[in-house]
Amino acid sequence: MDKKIKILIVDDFSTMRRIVKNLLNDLGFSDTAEAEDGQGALAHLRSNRCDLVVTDWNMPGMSGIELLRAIRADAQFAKLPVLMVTAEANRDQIIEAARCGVNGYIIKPFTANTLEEKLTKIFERLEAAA
Amino acid sequence: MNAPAPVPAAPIEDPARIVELLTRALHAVEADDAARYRECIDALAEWRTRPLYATFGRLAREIAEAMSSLPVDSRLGALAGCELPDARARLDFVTHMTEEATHRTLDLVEENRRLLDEIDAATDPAAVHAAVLALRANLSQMALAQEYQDLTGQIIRRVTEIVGRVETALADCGVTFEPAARSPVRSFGPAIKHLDAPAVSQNDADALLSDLGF
Repeated sequence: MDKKIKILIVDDFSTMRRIVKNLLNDLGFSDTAEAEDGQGALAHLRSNRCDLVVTDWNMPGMSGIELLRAIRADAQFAKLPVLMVTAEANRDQIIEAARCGVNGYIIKPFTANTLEEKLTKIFERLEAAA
Repeated sequence: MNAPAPVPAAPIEDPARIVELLTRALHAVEADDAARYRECIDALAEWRTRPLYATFGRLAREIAEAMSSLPVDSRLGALAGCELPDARARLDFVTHMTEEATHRTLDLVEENRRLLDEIDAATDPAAVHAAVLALRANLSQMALAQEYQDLTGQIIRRVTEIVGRVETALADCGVTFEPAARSPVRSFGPAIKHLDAPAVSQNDADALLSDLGF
């Protein structure tokens, strides 16, 4: 797993962004950026390189699922991996996220192990596809 | 095409007036007098809508009477006017307070990590001792930062009481609510045991995604 990748953390709560950032740092990923909602994330993606998006679902403004749809709708980001980290734990929602092309789904509250496991899986698949 | 169902006819009000208007309209057509014909037809149309206005007037009066006879409207007014904005402000404060406490705790966690690195790298026992003392002080601060739970707990309990009063007042008015339909596109926040549909666990989510080919 390449630890030099650029990761965008999207969550409306600054505390959650900080927790995710700390966990990513512990796993060796130190190149992170943050956005407060889907709009902010899209604005960031349009002007910065990014290799992975870690996003919450429930955010005021543009939600995580809308962000995922917007990312998949844009040819430029169609292959950008998106990991959903969310308290939304309803079957239909997980199916919806899958339908929209999510690459991983973590339910809050979560552990550092879960995050590591999902990241490893995402990159294994990407490497297998490459 | 099916004819519309017949509406039960009301008794004709003031038949002489209608006959007069229709006769005048007929004469106007025969005399090719468009202005007079239009005038008669307008008068007929106006006459036709009059019972409707009367019905609306009666309905408005009845609604006004029903509203004023509701036993709790002043209670609801007070709730909507000050208690609900007050509840909202209190909940905003809870969000703010929990955020502050979490940042304070995270600050201390980061500081402790730095101290652990220091201890790990230290060769001088005095430096180790100083770092351990600092670490201990930070742990106390971290415990102290959790006191927000007591304060936010009290605030939330008060908001729960306000919500309870709104619920009682609305129920006394006969207002009932259907639970909102769930949609997979909307977000709901964390599922709460006994309140929401059982949450899917991380294992269930993994199995589900794996079934879907992920």
